[in-house]
Amino acid sequence: MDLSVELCGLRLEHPVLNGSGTFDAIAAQRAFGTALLDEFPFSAFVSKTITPEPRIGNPPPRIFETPSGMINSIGLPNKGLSGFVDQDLPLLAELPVPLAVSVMGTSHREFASLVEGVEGHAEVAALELNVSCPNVESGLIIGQQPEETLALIRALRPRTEKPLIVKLTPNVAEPVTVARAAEEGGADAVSLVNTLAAVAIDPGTLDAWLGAGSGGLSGPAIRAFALGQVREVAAAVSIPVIGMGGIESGTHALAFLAAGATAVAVGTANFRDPLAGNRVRAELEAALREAGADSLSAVRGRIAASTST
Amino acid sequence: MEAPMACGFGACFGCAVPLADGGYLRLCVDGPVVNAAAIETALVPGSGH
Repeated sequence: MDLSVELCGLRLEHPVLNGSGTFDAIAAQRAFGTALLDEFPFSAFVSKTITPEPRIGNPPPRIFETPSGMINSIGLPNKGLSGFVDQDLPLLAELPVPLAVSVMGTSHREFASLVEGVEGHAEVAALELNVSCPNVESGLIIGQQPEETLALIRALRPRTEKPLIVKLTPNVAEPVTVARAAEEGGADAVSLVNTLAAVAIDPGTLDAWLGAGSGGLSGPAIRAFALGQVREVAAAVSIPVIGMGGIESGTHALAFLAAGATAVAVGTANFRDPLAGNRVRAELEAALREAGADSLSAVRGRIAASTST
Repeated sequence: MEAPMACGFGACFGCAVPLADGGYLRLCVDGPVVNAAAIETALVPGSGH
């Protein structure tokens, strides 16, 4: 069955991507060999989030296991823009699929420097904007404010012709207003959900378990919630939606597509099984057949218009 | 050493152990046996320091 999708002008072989920060293509090759490239699990690769300057990440512990999920507070350790461009980009350019680079800044100027830093690199097919961070100028988390989101995308849009994907935070009252602001600003797609704000308490000390105090919940625990936000957003915007949140099987992927997503991403499941993407894709095809559908377009958005919230 | 670990192959950066001269190593790919002198034990959770 033809599972190809068009996403922001990119022709992808199938709709299964990775969530940013959940699959390290370079570490995976080091651990599992170059055979990984022959059966690369995603139709496009989304990098870890890059910041202008290097970051070492948050103090440990960084991970807490929950029922059907995990909380992480990794803290975006990365080599910074120039380290990424010099060391990682040449390796990621060898991947057999288009590359989307995830970037995060704390001001329009920082975001602009990141966009301009990769703009001249043809191997970068798209940019994903991680807006789950405070704008140092306003103190507000960009992705929690429609006005901040609109202003940021408007500022970045003229600086690149590459597709801009806005990664939405679920930690808002109305994801739709932020998604609409992203669309109005000129975003080519939105991806959701990022992790849900979460805390774990050490039962012995009653202090926060995580070194950074709090973190983000991911995994199957958030799947039903994510599906709800994806459906809401997909019904409200006309740009494509990349749906994610606890996807572990083809049936899960199909549910997000039925909720209106154009593509889906596998995240936390990659930690347990780096080839989970391949399984999800194979199962998706089987799930489509079982649902009596002969194409992705036959199911996409099926539940979006017919039901109310 | 031990640390909570999501992936076990260097991808998630979850099993960070603080180094004495700054930064972190990943216990899954750089451990589990580490040079004690290189570790900032005061920052290791549960180390009692």
